[in-house]
Amino acid sequence: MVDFAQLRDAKPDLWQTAADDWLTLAKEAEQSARDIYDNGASALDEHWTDQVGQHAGQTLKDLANLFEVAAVEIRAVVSTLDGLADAAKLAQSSLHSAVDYAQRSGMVVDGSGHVTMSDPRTMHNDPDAQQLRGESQRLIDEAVAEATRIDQDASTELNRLKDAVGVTDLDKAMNEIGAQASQNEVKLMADALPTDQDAQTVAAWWNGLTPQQRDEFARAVPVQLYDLNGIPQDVKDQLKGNYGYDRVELVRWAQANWDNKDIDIFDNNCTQFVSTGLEHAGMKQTMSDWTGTFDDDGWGHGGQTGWDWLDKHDHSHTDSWASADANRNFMVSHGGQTIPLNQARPGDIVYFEQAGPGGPTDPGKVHHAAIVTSVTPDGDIHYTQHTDSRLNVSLNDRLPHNEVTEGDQNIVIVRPHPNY
Amino acid sequence: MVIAMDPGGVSATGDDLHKIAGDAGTRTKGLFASSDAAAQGNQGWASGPALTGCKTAWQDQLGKLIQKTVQAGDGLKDSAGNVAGTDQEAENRLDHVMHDWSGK
Repeated sequence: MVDFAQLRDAKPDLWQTAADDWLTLAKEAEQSARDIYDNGASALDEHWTDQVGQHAGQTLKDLANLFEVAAVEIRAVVSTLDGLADAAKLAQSSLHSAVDYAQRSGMVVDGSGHVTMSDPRTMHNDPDAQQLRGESQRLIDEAVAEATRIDQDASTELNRLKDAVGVTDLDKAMNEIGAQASQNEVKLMADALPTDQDAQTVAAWWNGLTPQQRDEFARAVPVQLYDLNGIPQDVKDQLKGNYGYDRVELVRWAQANWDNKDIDIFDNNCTQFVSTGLEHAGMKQTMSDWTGTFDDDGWGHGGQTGWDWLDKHDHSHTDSWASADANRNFMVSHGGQTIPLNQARPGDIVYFEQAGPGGPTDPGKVHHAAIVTSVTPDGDIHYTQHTDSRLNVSLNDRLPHNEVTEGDQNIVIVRPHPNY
Repeated sequence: MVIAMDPGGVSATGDDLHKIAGDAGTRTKGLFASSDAAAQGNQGWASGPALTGCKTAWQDQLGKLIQKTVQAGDGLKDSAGNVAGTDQEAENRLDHVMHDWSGK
């Protein structure tokens, strides 16, 4: 458990410096893997072609794989340290604001975080002073509780990552170990929210944040922020947005249904997941009365029977509903805006466009779509998807691996804004 | 079994592996110190000892991977050298060398 003094005296920037060094380590491991493939295994294919040479080549490929696994797992440490640094900074800032609030209200905060009136005799007869003291104490205790939650989750994750050293399966490293660290990075930001406080305390907490800190919460944990009792209504309205669908509901739905297979009816359901989420969040369908789901310029579906086979085969979805490339084209040509990566926000759609050869589709075409569900303060975009089902996975962590297996990718962020 | 090897090319590949290992060792050497500093600068946080444990485990693991890369380079250079006097005995020695550095 972190106490008042330990939070007050913490140096979150040191977590950040460590995270930066771990990121360099991950890149070094990635570079070693590439070098061993290119200068070792591939060279042997040319210079040593008999059975023993093939065995040697395979051994080098196995070694390169171990470096690649190491890179993935080290990136998981980076995610954890980034999340720890960002969340701890916010909790410490909340503590400083609470102490400042108490002192400006004429109170004294001792070394253990206990709040008293500078003149205790005054407080006995002054209900307002008693209330101020109580509120100050709650804010201080809340900041310490946030730090404790953050520390527990971060230390648990770091211990888990220590135990995972030695894993040799790249798939396991990527889809289990790395995926959980990505989810945990988002959770660390949620840990820094005053989730169990009354509206008055939440409002005081919110007022103590800088505009940048407010935006960090809005981008990282929009649903949890929206659900806090005491957040101003105009902030909640901004979170929902004015884009023809409720962006908070889209994120909430995606995070609640990331592993709900009942939604799936196609072989690949990534775009079906995006479209179903947007419809749930209020985006209106549009289809020609004449051509219905065959409308090349529409987005929607016909009546659904609930029988997956029939719903899949009866041509009851527009191409833009279920195909990632058509979905991107529809959104962009109907009011949607392509957004620079560093301005992505939860509720946007992320598309994976093939940039180079060797991928699942032709260069220039989109082959995958997902919902942006969080952008952590380090700028990392976390997305949620189907086929395969993944929750809040990190783009920074997955992209290097995806580019190895699928060729170079362009990441395209679109903010839908239907204009029909 | 017929040996199909270009000893010069294989030896050069061994040199490349030595260089890859050397570069990785040099470039990663100082990158763990900041984890110790973070743990020391955040007394009372359970994340400090947890990071130290993680650091120790990964420092060890990366050291092993770099060492394996060195051994792979050694194995290739030894194998290339053995092929100079190609005969059945050399073939047997190759197999031994390969098994030694691959750990299989």
